[in-house]
Amino acid sequence: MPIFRRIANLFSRLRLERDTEAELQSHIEMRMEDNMAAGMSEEEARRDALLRFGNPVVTKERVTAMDVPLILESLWRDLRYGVRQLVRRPGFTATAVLTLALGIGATSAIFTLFDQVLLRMLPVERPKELVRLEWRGSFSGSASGFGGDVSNYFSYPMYKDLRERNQVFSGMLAAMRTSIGVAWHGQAEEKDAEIVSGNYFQVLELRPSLGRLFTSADETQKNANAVVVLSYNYWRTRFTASRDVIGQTLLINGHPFTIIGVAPENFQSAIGGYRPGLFVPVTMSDIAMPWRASSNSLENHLSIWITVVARLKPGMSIARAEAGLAPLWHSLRAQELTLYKSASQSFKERYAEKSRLMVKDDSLGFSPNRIDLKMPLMILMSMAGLLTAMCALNVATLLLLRAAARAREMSMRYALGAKLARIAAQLLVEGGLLGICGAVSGLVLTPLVARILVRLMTNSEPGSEPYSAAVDIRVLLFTLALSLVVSLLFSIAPVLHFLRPNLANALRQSTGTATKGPQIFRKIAVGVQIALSVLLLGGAGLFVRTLNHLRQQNVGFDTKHLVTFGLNPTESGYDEAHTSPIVTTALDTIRKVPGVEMAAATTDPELAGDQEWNGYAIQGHKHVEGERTDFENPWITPGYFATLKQPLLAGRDFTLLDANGAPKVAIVNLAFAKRFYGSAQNALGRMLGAADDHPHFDITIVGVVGDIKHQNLREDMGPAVYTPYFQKGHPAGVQIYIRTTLEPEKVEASIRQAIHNLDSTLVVGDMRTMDVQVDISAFTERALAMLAISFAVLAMMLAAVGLYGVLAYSTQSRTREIGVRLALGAQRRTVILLVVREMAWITVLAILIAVPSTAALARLFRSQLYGVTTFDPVTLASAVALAGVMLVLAAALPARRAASVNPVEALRNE
Amino acid sequence: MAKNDLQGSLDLLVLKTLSQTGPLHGYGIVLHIERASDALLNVEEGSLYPALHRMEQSGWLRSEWATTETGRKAKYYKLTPSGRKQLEEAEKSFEQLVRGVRAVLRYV
Repeated sequence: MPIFRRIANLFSRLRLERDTEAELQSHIEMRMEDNMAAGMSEEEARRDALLRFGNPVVTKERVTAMDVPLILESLWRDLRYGVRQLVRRPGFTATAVLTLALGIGATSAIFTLFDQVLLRMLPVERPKELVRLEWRGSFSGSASGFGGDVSNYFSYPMYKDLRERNQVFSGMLAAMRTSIGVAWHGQAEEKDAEIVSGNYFQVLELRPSLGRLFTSADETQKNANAVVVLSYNYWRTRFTASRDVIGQTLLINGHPFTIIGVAPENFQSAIGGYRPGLFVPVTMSDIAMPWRASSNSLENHLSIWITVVARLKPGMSIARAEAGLAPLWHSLRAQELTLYKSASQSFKERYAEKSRLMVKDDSLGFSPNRIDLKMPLMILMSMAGLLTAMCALNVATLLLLRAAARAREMSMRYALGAKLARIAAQLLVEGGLLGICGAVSGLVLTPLVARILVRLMTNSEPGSEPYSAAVDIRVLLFTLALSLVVSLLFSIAPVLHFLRPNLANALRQSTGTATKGPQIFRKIAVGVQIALSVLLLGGAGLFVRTLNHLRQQNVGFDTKHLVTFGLNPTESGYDEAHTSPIVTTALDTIRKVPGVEMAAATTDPELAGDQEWNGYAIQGHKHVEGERTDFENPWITPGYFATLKQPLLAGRDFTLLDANGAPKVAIVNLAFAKRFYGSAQNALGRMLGAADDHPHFDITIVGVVGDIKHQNLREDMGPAVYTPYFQKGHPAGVQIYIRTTLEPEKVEASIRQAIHNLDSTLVVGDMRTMDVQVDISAFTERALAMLAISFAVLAMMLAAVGLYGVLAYSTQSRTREIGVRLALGAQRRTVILLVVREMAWITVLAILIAVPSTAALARLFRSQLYGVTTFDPVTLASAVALAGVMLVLAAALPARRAASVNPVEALRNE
Repeated sequence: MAKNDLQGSLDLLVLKTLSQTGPLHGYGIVLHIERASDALLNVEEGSLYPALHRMEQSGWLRSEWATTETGRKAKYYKLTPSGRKQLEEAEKSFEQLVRGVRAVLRYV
């Protein structure tokens, strides 16, 4: 009940004040009366009454302040006052808000991506129940995947056994990603798809936007479930959100599939950071992934290729699930072991008894992106944090200077009886206002920066970004929290300044000049800023050097005048028998295009992160336990090495005669030759065989080529075996490389046209020059370097502005002293020294602290560096030099002004 | 009343005064406490009114304007039932405090 009265009082504040005033007045008068009755004069009586009572105005304030809700009103007053203060100084306000917007905008933008990659859970029912399976132990067989370690992948029969016989999960789904050719109304395109088990949507507990989703009835047997579910986004863009598409037929890799439904709008995939356009039942994998057809994926225990996600039964913990699965896993593995006829004892042990099935939290979804982006995003987040700290320091300095200018106002309020808490509250409210304005402006920047960030960090084309750049509620809350923390931090400086005001001094001064305190704080702040910006410059330098090393290193072949694109005839419905002829025809057609010198194809693209491994047995080589028998194994057409200008060190290249039916041949790289035969010459004529318990050595090594960088720019290819594409049992899509005599960009259109003329259903995939491909291969490094440079430059500018401010202020306030010194015969040089000496020391100190800190921090992200050590003298020296130049420039103007003081005028001014 | 007096005593004094005298204005409360304590306790007049206001907001007191014997308008405060209950509690806890402090002082 009292609370209502208090709230009522809030609305009748005026009445309350008048009431209180009257009451106090009557008190004083009654006291006066008694005093006069006791014999005092009227004047004495009044004095005594007031003396006893204390300050009636303060008492009245204290009476009214007893109402708790009044705090709200005082807050409202502070808010209005704060707004007036900010509006009155537009220059100051704009500077502060812009500075904050910069820091907050950048941090929120990075958080937008950070959140999606590292924090956000899958948009499904009860994501915390989802777990992912991983295994440990030995394995030998064929593996394919889309990133992450091989231990994330399972064979389809193993998945089915686990699904049907486990006691701990309420459901288990399987997923694999691939890209497929989709033809709809005669238009073909390549699109990302997810190969999923029939219960996929049931385990995730999702409901369709339209039609129906898969059920277990859509996973019956091989090639029997030609149905497809569209993602919401793909349905909206490619199928114009038409409700009639349900029941219609589209072609996947040339085979008809019936569209049965559309997935929920906010759902992308069980795989984090993946946005497939279509979902295809796992039983259709031979059609969706024709190159896997040969491994008989649906029945083969030794072909692992799917990831497994399960939903825990209610109340089941991860540890108990893992324990509950162990007996089943061991018995299944023991059965599989019979498939290995002559494996060693230790291999067998590690395959069965010593192997483990692990259950891991999967509320975020399995995501290779997360593995790749985690470190770079952490680095960027820290850099943004540092930048925001610098912005907050800058604003704190600004506020402090202004606070000093308001010393008189504040002292007056103290003298009139205001409490520190009230003044602090007002300063905090003003700071909070600035913070909110900064956050709002920052939020305008956030989606713009986030979009660039997403494209840079994931190297995606506009329109196909795997992550969203939009500001959602989580980003909003983060930004709000960040701005509150930041404004609290920068508001503390002025509050501290007023903690012990020297009332008499402040009031006596004719104008509100700054006291020593803020100047000292300011100098320290500039010192910290200089240190931080050197730190950021140093970090950026390391990334730039890494990028340069990567791009300038010798990849083992000539990337100039080289154009490449993907050609996958199976996606246009070509079957195995017609695939290699169309590749041959395509190559011949391309060679006739003007400006083209040579053309060849491989199944294993260069510098695109691809790997294609196969097991080989080497005649005469005694296999050592634990030694890898799998080697990188591209299948190439004749002329491949000549086209790439990859040197042929010994023997011969493949010819058109090395085709099916002819004796099997192989070319190995130098690393292979050296490892197993000692030299390139020794390798010629040696025999290889397909890895088997009793290998049949029927492949002759006819050539040796130089080593190249293959998967990416960082890693060497290792021992590799090249085999002829025309001897491949199940020919599939290829990557074509074209050596041009003209500028490669000029030939691209004609090549495209030539392929189109050959067969208009053929899709030319991602045509680009090899130089571009090299850039793409280093895109994480490039993004990190670019963003780090931006951060460092912004930081440097903030520091320079800070330094300029401090020096300009001290020159101005010492004009008179300088005048006197000059009049007494001081050298101009001495005067400049006088002004800059202190800051010079602070700068040197800051740099001395920053340099070893950079090296120390760099150790944390060593994994991101290449070709540079964490203590890289060149980088650190350049960072210090660059910082030095910027700071000298910032100091030059105030120093010149100090030196050009006219003693006569300076003295006359007083 | 000493400045660093135990917090809450002022409430107790005011409530007790009102229970003894009936409706009274602030100045009257000050005089009563002085008189009743043989001038040992001196209410700081500036602190009285915030306390009165707070107690009124808490529902322990009710106030209304009335005329004094000398014909002056003044605000009279009166105990409410909940104020009476509060007084009992305050008295009890004060007694406890005094007993406790005394015990400590006499402890050898």
